[in-house]
Amino acid sequence: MPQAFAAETSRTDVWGREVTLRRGARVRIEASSGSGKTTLCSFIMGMRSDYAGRILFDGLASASLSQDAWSSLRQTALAWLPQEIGLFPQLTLRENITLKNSLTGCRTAAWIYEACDSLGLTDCLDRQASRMSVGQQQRGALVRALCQPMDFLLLDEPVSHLDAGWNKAVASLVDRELRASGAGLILTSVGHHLDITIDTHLTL
Amino acid sequence: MIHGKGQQLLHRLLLRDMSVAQLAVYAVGVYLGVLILSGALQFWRDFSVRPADAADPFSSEDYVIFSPQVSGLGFGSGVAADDSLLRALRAQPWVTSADRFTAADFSVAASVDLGTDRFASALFFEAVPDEYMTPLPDAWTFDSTAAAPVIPVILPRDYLALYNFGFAPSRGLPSLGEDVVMQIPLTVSVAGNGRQRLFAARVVGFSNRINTIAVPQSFISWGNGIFGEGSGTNSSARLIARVSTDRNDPAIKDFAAARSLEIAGDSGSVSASRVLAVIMAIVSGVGLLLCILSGVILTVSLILLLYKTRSVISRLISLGFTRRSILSVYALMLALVNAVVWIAVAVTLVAGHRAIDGMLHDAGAGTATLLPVLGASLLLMSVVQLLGMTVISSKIKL
Repeated sequence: MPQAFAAETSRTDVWGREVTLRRGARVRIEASSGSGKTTLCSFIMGMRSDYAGRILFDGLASASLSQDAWSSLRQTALAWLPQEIGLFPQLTLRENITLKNSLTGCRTAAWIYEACDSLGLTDCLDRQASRMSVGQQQRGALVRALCQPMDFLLLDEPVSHLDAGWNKAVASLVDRELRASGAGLILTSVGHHLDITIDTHLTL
Repeated sequence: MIHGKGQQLLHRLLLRDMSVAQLAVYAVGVYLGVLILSGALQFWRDFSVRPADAADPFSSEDYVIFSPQVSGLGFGSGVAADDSLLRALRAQPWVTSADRFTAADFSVAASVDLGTDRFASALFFEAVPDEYMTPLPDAWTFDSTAAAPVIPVILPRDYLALYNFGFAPSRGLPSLGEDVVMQIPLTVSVAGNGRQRLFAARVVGFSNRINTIAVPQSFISWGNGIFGEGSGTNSSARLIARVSTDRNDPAIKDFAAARSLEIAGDSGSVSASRVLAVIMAIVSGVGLLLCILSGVILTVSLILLLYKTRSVISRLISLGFTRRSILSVYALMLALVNAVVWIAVAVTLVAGHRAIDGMLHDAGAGTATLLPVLGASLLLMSVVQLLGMTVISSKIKL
């Protein structure tokens, strides 16, 4: 639980409880705005540590991980599409994707092109991210997030800027890659759900 | 490990907000600071390897001459310094070596022929061992076996001033420079013990230290043997000591006061060594201050740069980039700037040292190799590099 919520007595499916997330399982965490979805993702990704309780990876406390161990996890186990998207605005979409892929060496140029094509981004590949629409940026950031091996894919409100058509396209790509990698899905939503089959619903 | 183009993109992202102006100010500041410090160090080294016959302006040694106080009419009393006084002086912890003046035990008259005019005067000669005559003039030898032996003479600089500003104007005579005086041939008449002989003599130098008309000890020893009348007055009342401390040290004053001695030495209240030491300290201080200021500028610039790029760094870390890979981008940039600065310092030092080589030689300095100073400046630049990397490392957080 975030330290900021420590004074609150109400318990949810996540805060104040033991929750186990397994590889291959798909979990949707629903909540109203401001209840800590993005904060939870930051805790899992090791970007914040201001929480009470413990987060364990295969029994190992994440608080004990070194900076290098976290970097390794972020390159090989935890793929993340943040709510704020996080493309570098001064780089083109292709450069944004290349930057991540140069770190992992995970995807071929053909896979990247095909993934972008499936999300209608081929025309944007050489456009600066700052000149893309928010919806295009969100889809582009998903392709970037998929450029790594993974045990879990964290999608923080991944379709908040997309219409139903692009929602389906994103869901299709995510479903395909989850099946291919055997990774688990941690999906957050405020009500505008990604159109994908879910195993478990949790409320935050 | 970041592949191919990723490294290039990383550089673009992290260095985009870097202020070239701030970096240039840092580079110029650290260049001047390291150059001044290295220059001062090299200057000191050059004087440390001075030619053997040149004075050492950085020597901490000083010379002190002790004379008995004369009050009223001091006929003969206490004129000669006895052995116990010399022994007492040599026993002082601040004395490196001490000896007595040797006076001529014969009469001396000198004359100078200036064409129409001829000047003559009775004189006195004294000598101190050569070790107190640094720098020793080239011609400071007397060969009694030569066909026409020449007596080299060193005059107190005050005597020339007395002539130029006192005697010459009152008699309508021209003022003489040191180099002119050194060209004038002198004739010295030596008489005593029933013998007389004429010698050629030449002024070979001027001294601030020895307040007497000095000739080589070898001449006085030889002359006293031939012309001396055995009066025993060849032991002068004056003692000279080389001291390891400042001439104004209270210990020296106490020693002199306890034995009713007066102190003299190199004229001028502050010796050249101390003036140079103070100048060197000031110059080095300015260099060090510039280095410190440059370090501050570098630190502030880096903190500002890291502040501007903090969101980029945070995103890169969330993508899986290590702190080390981010630090290496800044370290490489800083290393390139520092390498350029060091090369500029090295080139300036080498070129500057060559350019002032002649001036250094004229000033009595030698030419020491630049390698240790170049090494020291490289070490200094490495410290600056390390400082920069420490600042960056402490600021790269999530």
